[in-house]
Amino acid sequence: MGGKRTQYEIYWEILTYCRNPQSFTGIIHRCNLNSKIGQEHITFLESKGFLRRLEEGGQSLLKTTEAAQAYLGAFKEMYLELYSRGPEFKL
Amino acid sequence: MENEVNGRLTREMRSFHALTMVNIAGAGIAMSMGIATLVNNLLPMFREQTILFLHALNVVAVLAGSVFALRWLISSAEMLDGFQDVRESREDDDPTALIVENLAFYRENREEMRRLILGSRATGAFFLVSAALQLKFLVSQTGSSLFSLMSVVGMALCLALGLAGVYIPSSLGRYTSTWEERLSESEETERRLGELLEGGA
Repeated sequence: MGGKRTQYEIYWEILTYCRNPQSFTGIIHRCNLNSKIGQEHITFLESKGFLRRLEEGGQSLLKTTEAAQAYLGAFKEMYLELYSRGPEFKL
Repeated sequence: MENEVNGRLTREMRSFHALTMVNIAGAGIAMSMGIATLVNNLLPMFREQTILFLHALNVVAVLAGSVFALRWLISSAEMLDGFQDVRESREDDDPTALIVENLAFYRENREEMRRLILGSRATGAFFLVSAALQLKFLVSQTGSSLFSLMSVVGMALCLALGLAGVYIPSSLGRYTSTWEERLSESEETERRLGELLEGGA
């Protein structure tokens, strides 16, 4: 994903992607972030308990926790509502 | 709700894609018309080896129009390229990802869209004036029927491009106002998400 995104959208992308365990490199590549910004976001999400680290095959991976489900659910609900409210664009 | 949003997103994205294609076609025809007119006005001056005032004036006007058309073409192509990425990002039936992608695309391109509206309006106005001038010329001239036919074709092309220059900015304007409204409402969504995160942990 690319373009101008808000921090909340980036959090949502990271958490959605990490439903299956992912490496740091995989996350920043997939979410189109540089390593410094990516590290800041991941540290924040870990501090909130939304991401946890696990070791798999000698590799450090990150996985979304149950605690993040409330954020993911609210985000989805709010964005669907936001999109549905306005008029539809037609040619 | 998800199905409804998915259907709406699909329709909107199809409409915007079509609009970008119309933009590219319009800009392409405008560019080719510009080059053809430029050559037509330069040739007599080369033949005469002197600067003919009316032809020189036409060259300047066409060059100015072509700059707008080139800018219009490049912007439309860049926008199509960016939008293609949004379309290709669709991996599953979750519409949330597509809403996020579309919002990000709009935030990134909103200024360019405003410039595109102005640019295509200017190009459209230029071709409408050209069509009017050609009509005036057609009414007053007494040349061969082949020459008249070519003038009619030229005038019709200018008129079509002029009308495209009215239609495209108005459609793009509707697209930007639709997303502008969503963008302004997303500020409230951000505030609520911020509160949710503050309360978390």
